[in-house]
Amino acid sequence: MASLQLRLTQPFFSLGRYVMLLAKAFTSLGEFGLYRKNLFVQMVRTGIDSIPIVALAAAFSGAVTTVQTAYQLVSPLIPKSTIGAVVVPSLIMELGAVVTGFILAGRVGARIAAELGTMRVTEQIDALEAMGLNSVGYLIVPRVMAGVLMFPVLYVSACFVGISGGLLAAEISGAVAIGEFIQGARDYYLPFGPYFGLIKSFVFGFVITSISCYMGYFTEGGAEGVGRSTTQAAVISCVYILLSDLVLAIVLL
Amino acid sequence: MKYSNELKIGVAIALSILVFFVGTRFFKDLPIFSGTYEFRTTFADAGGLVSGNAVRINGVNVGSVNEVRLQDGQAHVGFTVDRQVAMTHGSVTSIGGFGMLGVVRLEIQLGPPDTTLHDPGDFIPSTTEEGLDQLIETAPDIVGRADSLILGATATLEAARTLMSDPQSDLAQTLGAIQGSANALSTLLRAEQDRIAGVLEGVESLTGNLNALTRDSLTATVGNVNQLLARIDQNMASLEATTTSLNAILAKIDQGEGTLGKLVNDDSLYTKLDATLTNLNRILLDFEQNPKKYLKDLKLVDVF
Repeated sequence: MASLQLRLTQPFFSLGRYVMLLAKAFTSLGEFGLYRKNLFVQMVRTGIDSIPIVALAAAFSGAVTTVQTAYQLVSPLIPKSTIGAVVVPSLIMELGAVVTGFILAGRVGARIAAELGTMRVTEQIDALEAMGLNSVGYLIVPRVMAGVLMFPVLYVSACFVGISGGLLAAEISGAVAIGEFIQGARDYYLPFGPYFGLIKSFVFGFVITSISCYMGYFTEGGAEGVGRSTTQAAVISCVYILLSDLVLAIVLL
Repeated sequence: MKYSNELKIGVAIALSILVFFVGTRFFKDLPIFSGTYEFRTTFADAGGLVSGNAVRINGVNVGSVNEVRLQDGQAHVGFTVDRQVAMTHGSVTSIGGFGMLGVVRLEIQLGPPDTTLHDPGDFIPSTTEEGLDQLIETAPDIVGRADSLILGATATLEAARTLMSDPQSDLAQTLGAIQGSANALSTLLRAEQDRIAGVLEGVESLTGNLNALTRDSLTATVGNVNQLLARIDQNMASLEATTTSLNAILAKIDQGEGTLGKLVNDDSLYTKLDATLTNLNRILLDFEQNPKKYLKDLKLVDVF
């Protein structure tokens, strides 16, 4: 009975704890000046250091989308420029943000959760508190802010590299001429697309970093607990990326 | 040299903003650094125009559509045009492209080059052209009619083939009889060849004798004319015989003997043709009432 009660209340307990952590982080924004240096370190680790892997994934997404769209276009009635009209909007509106989000969930989310989890189990967070520092302001605010600020940068580079990869694949495979590809992309271009992608990237950056911070900050149970938090941070971040992706699409489109 | 974190982040963010700005303008088909200006127009039918569609002058992309909204039963369209384009007064807009495939464009027909330029934000009037969409709307009707026509033609050809292939049919008999008549005529000509030749000879000798008349005595001429009359009499006799046989043929036709006779006297061919046409009419009527029955499997364009 008690275990059932615990199971039923656990999600609400987690949600409440998550919101309270965020609220605390929000109130810590006032002391932000103290932790500015930390923010830049986190922005480099989250943003700049992730650019190569994000670019690699985006380039391959773009190239694969192009080649596969070309493979599917068998009808002579459909112009070849449709390839561009499919690849560019899908990169801008979906793949650019979501592929980047998945990679960051693994790369950044896991790192944040492992860092904070280890600090929690080795009682470094308690030490910070004992020294009179605001651990939330010192550890969580810079990480979440770094995610929100740098994720759009990663999104833009993912789109740029992804579309370039698509163009390169189109040129190499000979599926469609570059001019036609761009013509198709322009014909079907929706001005809201890039802004929609940017909004997504802000949301994903916040989702990944805040969930990972929450997982790491409330780690329990030694080295095993750190491992569990790390895994959960990556997995739950991915789940909430997909969920927020759908919610954004329904609300904004 | 080791770069500071601030520098790296600053460069990354600046580059991203630049790429975003240039990228959106690139795909909007706007000139990347030079300016643009905006104009407005209205259409009774925007034909599926959406923001982001290209704006073209003489087939050259010069800008893009910014917004399309419905107001007072008119489609209000705002669009931007490259600043290098001289939008002269008298320019008109129209909807172009292929709506069915989703590629719709705003076409601009520039006014005369010596008129004054429009100010940014001006209203440009639109013209309505006979759009492809209207054609597409009427197409099923046309196809339906063509189909019924083809059906009718097929039935007619079918009937004609049956008529031709059946040796007992009126048409085959008629053709046979016509051939027979031609044969008879040929035989007649062959049989009368000598006489015809005789007539010609007589005519020849007539001219010869006429010549002689001028030289020789009138008496001899009269004698010759007498001879000639005798020959003509002979020919008349044979002509009479021909007339008699023709009379016999006509009598047979009158009595309804043979194909020609049946064609003249028997109205069954007419009755059959009439019945066929009545049936055809009924099919066409049915088709107009239930076109789906016939067009069930007919799709205009099977694209996707």
